[in-house]
Amino acid sequence: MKKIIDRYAEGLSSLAEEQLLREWSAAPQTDEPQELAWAQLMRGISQAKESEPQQLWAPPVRTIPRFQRFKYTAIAASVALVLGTNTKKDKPKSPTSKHWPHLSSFLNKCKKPTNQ
Amino acid sequence: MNTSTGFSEHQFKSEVMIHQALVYRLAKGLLVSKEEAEDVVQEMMTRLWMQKDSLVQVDNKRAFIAKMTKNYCLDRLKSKQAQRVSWDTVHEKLAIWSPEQPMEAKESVEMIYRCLAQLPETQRLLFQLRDIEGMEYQEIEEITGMQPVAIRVALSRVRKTLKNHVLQQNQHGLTK
Repeated sequence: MKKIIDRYAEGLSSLAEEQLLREWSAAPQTDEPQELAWAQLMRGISQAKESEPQQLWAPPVRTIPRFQRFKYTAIAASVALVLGTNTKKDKPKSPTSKHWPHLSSFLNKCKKPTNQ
Repeated sequence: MNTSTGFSEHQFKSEVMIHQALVYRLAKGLLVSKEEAEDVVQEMMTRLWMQKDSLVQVDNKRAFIAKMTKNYCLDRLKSKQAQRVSWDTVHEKLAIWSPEQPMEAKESVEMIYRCLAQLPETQRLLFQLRDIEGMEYQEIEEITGMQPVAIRVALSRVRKTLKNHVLQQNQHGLTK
């Protein structure tokens, strides 16, 4: 084990040798202070490997935008309005209806009660 | 294996999010603060999520994430936000251990971090990458951009420093 410790101290050890050292450090059979110090260091490293964040990150939740449903309703209503005004092509058009068809149809609706 | 369209949420979880602990430990070792390390995890994961489409092209995701974390932590160290903490405050900042854990293990880890806090950032980083994360030298070269010989020399220095520190603590404890 001393040879492995020396290699470790010189930065020459492999990962497998370092794993061996960590296993040895759990119960080192030695009274030599230097080796005991290495063992204590290896135990500290083993413990440090286990530390993890308390608060883990999570991907953002994909939510539907608040006004998404109103967007489609508004589009559908606009399309319906345009199609509705275009069907009244057979009627003679006044200057108002030529330039402002929406206003013209609105005015026609307003006139209806007085004609009856 | 990977599509060019980017990571799905499932892939992101299995290939990127599994490295959260690595980010945390690296940040804790470099910034010497548990709270700051927690912040770094959140920041790094958000950044990785934002660029998840380009992550597909990265072969070694662990090394990529470690390098990104290293750069971010070093920038943070340079800024005013993260000032070097003193030896005395390290104990409080690293109070991560529950009372159930054995006293000796707790003391060993604290001793390591106390001593690491006194060392240059490069030595701290190398010790983290090799001894705590168990990375191969090739991967460490990729992350740090250092030559293999320089890595081994610096590692040797930090290991001997830590061992001498442990030895001194033990001798001090015996003579007390």
